[in-house]
Amino acid sequence: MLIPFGVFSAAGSSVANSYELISTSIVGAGGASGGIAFTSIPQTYKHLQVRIVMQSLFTGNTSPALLYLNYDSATNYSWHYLRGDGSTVSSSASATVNTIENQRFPNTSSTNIFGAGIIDILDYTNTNKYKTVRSIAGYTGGGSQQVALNSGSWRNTNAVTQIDISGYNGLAQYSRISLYGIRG
Amino acid sequence: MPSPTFTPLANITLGSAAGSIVLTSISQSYRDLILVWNGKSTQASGSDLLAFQINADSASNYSFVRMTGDGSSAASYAANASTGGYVFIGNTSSGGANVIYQFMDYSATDKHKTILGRGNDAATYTTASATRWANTAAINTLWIFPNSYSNFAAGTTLALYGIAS
Repeated sequence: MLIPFGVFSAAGSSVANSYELISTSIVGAGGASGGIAFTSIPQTYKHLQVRIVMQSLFTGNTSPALLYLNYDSATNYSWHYLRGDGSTVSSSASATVNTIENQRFPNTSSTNIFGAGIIDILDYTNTNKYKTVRSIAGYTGGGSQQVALNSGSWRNTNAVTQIDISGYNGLAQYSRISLYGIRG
Repeated sequence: MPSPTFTPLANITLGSAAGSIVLTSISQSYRDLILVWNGKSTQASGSDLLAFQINADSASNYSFVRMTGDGSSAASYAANASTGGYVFIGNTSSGGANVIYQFMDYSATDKHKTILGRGNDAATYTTASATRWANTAAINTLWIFPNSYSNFAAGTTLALYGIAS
């Protein structure tokens, strides 16, 4: 039985339709300064997965993918990462911040070069616990490269009904973010 | 309206050792591809790598970064102008390894292709990687092979899944 990364249902599971596409957003011309939002998320799944291919509109450097749950921008999040940049492995954390950062994505100065990430939001409808998030993300090109494993927490027991994803200054054209539901 | 996805596109079990696995005429109907490999290399010693090339491109059009842990230390390595993407898979003496490659936006023609990798071999390394194929063409062929140019052992399996857009 095959267990794909980031997905908590097995391929060929006896549960029909256990991994479903809920919505896809593709950023059009001009970019999306406010990022992308998935609203009114169905509460009928066990876990959620967000699949990202993006550039940010940040002109200074690379940008993390910024994750907000239920449009909460207060300091109710924490995160850790383990990151390799091609020469060193590093780790960092923030305990009381206003978003979960998923490391890291290029900007538009790198033509055709997008980063990719996969974020799992586990037990998202459960009102007995804080919400735990894990992700993998990476990019190469434009003079730098990085791959990172990330974990995050939203200190709120509410079910997740909205997900907002952005980068510093927003998302560039052709960025794609898809939301999937996993039944349990 | 949610739509079911994670569609099996290929499911291969090697009845005998083989030097590579080639997937051709890959459907362009999906958003991402997920390749799940489980098996062994027949390399006698040292750590082999699970390599891939896209659309028969064997030129130096790839770049990658990986992060590894071997049980005593963590390390990171990158290569530009590479001829493929790579994740550690051990050798014939190890108990076997599994690798998952995620080919993101594989059918899009407005960007280079980014591939996320995770490799797990309890005898050698755990690996995370990101690879870029510097080409905006849609992916229609994948060549999977051991970097040592030895063989995949009999019993090695490979599955390819399409993720809906």
